[in-house]
Amino acid sequence: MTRPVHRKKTSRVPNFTPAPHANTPDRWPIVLALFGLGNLVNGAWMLASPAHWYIHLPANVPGTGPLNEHFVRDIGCIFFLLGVLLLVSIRRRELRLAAMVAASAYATAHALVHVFDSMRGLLAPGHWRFDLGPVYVGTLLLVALTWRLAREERPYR
Amino acid sequence: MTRIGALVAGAILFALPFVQSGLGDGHADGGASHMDHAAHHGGSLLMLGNHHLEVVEGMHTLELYVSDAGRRPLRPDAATVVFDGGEQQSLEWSGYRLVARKPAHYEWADYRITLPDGPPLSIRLPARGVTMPG
Repeated sequence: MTRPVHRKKTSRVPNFTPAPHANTPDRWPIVLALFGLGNLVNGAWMLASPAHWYIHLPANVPGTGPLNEHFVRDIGCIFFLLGVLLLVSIRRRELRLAAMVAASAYATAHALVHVFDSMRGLLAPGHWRFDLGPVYVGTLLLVALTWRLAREERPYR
Repeated sequence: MTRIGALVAGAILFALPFVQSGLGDGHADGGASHMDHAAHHGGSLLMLGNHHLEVVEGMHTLELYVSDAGRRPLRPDAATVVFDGGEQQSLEWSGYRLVARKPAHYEWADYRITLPDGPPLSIRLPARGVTMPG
């Protein structure tokens, strides 16, 4: 006498619970395109002509010290590659979060360097006022956007 | 995210790499960098009016770094140097400095620098280790 085999029902069909943002248009390509372009242009400028970038960047780079072309190109590589990653992630959705996390991590580390240099007096006492918008608020905005992207992308991962 | 929100966020992020790079003190200190009279390149720093001129004497070259009151580098339209009242050379723009070939021996040099705006800057400087009479 054979006993009926009760097989556990399994389904190869994934759970099609609609993502919470599935019905809203995907605006992230706009953000990624502009952010990627900024990084790409800045990086290409640093790699192509460090001296031109050093003199003409509105952020007054000379105020931080003399030009070191090698270091400008080193940092230019970071911006350039971040730009490429961000732009590629427009079409490759699975890379979006990684690209934004990479950019946020770099911006956060950079902001921490500014805090450290302000605390040890390498930057002038009033320097934090100029850092406040571009460095600290800018980094917080980037981290907040990355957080939002992570929440929106969760259903797709 | 709305389209406007995405555009605003994107525009801010577009500018972020540019504004985060550098951020020298010239913007933050309300002009205190004018008081920055440190030689940034290992040479001698001079004031010519509101301009800064740093002269770096190497083994075979003379380098001139011209900057404004806030120590922002300036690119002169032209610059010449006359050694001991005789040999005249044009200083060539290289990177962000002016460079001239240094003669084997000289006592003093007359520099004349023409900036895009303002009168030409002139100064006579002794060679390193030479004391100018008077």
